[in-house]
Amino acid sequence: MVLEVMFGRLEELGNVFPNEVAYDYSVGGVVWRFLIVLYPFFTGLIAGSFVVSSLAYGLGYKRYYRVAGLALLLTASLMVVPLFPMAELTQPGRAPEIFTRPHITSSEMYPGISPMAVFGVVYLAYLILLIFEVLFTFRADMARRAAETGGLIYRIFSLGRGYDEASVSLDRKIVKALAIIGIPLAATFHAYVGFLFSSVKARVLWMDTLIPVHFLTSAIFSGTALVVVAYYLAGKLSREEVDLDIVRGLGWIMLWALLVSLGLEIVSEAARTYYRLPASGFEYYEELVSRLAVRDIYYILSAVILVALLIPKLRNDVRILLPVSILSLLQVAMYRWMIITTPQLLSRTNAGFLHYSVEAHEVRLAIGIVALMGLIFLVLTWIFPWNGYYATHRDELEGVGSHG
Amino acid sequence: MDEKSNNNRDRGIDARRRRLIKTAAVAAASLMMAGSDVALAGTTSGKRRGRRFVMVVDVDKCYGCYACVVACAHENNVPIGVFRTWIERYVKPDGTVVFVPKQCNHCDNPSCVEVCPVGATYVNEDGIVLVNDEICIGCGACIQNCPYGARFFNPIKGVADKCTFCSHRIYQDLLPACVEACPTGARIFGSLEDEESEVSKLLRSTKTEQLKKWTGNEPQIFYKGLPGEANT
Repeated sequence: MVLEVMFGRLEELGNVFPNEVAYDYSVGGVVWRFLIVLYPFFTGLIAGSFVVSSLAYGLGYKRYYRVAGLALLLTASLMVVPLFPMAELTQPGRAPEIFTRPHITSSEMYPGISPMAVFGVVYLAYLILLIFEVLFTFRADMARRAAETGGLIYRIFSLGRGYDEASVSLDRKIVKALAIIGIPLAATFHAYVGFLFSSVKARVLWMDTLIPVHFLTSAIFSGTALVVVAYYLAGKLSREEVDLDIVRGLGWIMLWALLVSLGLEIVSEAARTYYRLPASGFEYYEELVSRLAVRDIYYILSAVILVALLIPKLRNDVRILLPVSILSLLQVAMYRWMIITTPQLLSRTNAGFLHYSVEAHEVRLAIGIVALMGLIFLVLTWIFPWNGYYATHRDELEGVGSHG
Repeated sequence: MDEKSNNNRDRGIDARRRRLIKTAAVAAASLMMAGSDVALAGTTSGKRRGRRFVMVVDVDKCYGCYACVVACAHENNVPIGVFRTWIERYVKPDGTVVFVPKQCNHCDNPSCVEVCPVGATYVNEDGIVLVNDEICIGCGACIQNCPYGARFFNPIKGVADKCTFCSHRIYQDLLPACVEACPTGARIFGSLEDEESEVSKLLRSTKTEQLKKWTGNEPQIFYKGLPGEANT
């Protein structure tokens, strides 16, 4: 099977717990699987593309105004991301319990606080913020369309106000505040997923405090790459000229995010060689990683992307940056795969291996959820104009505003 | 003035030293008199744990008949392929075989309970770690966080499952099924609250080990004669 060649097939070896291998690996061995790999990948895209939109709306980088609306709609359409872990639950019908009875206080019966329980608060807060930001970002465009066509949807989303200068400047203030508050919220939403892994003390390879930070940097990298791809495609489809200046700026962000991300990874990997893993765990770890083809592919891919981004001539050429961005998405997905499955392949005895390969039903579920995201994106771009004048030409509007 | 202050300081140090020596002597004496308390130090925490059920496993007595594994599966309707208790087999360099029975350690500070997002798993009033089947959402966090591989997804119920110390039996004044089935008495079960119980006496008189102490979970299964490589 192709996937097995790609991700390395390991025979069981050494000392493993019976519950890790017996019956099925998912029963007690590799419990968090393909869908859980996709969860941090997509929350990373959410955080990364939100940061791009906030660069313009929140921090006032005028260069990115043209893509900010698109990045925001991308972020919003990916917010069904909790479906990934939900589909992985053995009791998906009980998923709402995480909102209704979160384990966030410590007591005699329930010692400790569950990092996973924080999900409800963080997710809901971020979702509400995003809804309001989308509404107010595109409100003026909606109001103009409502005035032009009188459509019901446009009148609803214009929130009963017009697109005069006072209304537009009020929108701008609200969106600015939301975009700035949103940055730490998006970072928390993504970094806490990393913390879920680094807080698992039974898996020695997850004991890495850099995981949340590394998640964030690679999120900015992949989120920006997604915006590049989406901007290029949206520009081509709506026959709008692709602004090369923006693409160059995004390439620059990608380069820095990749450099920091790879740097952190080297630190993590180097520190791991100094850990004294119990029960000759390090020898097993070395043996384990030497058998995983995905690791070699990942490093080769990272080197290719790094070289392409380091050379200004290549980085500034959209025909090069576009495939590089697609490869970047793949590279980050591979990183997520490695960080989530590899530590689970080392048995908790630290003296044996497990085996995991993707199963067909997981791929089917993943395709379904990604298709749902695409559908939501299409609906959102159908309602809200990603290149709406008021949403994406604020630099010109601000010029007008400052004079009048 | 300097000399005086120096003298004062020296006297201060002397006094402190004397006090320290006195404390050390008292401590040593009380250690000798109450060695039992020290032996139990690893088993007691400030937490309210009622009868505090524990198990002592005498590794030297186990000869690997799997009666406990079968009895457990039979008593608790454990599906084929997953285990609430199991026996690990180790071969020493000299060729002798050692069998180590394992199960949930009913930790005093359980990392599995800590991470459960919905509070489906809990420590009951007597220190037993249990799962509420009606609430568990099946996220697998507890399974990931158990350092002993004692938890698993029950393939029939679709929730996290584990040893319950046969709580349905022990509250009827019966022994856990594995303890009752053991032909050699390698598993000894009892309450630490009762100072005259067999486990309390054993823990006072014998040297025992707990598994993976570095996790800070404070496991409540104590092994006598545990080989080093079995400490996983």
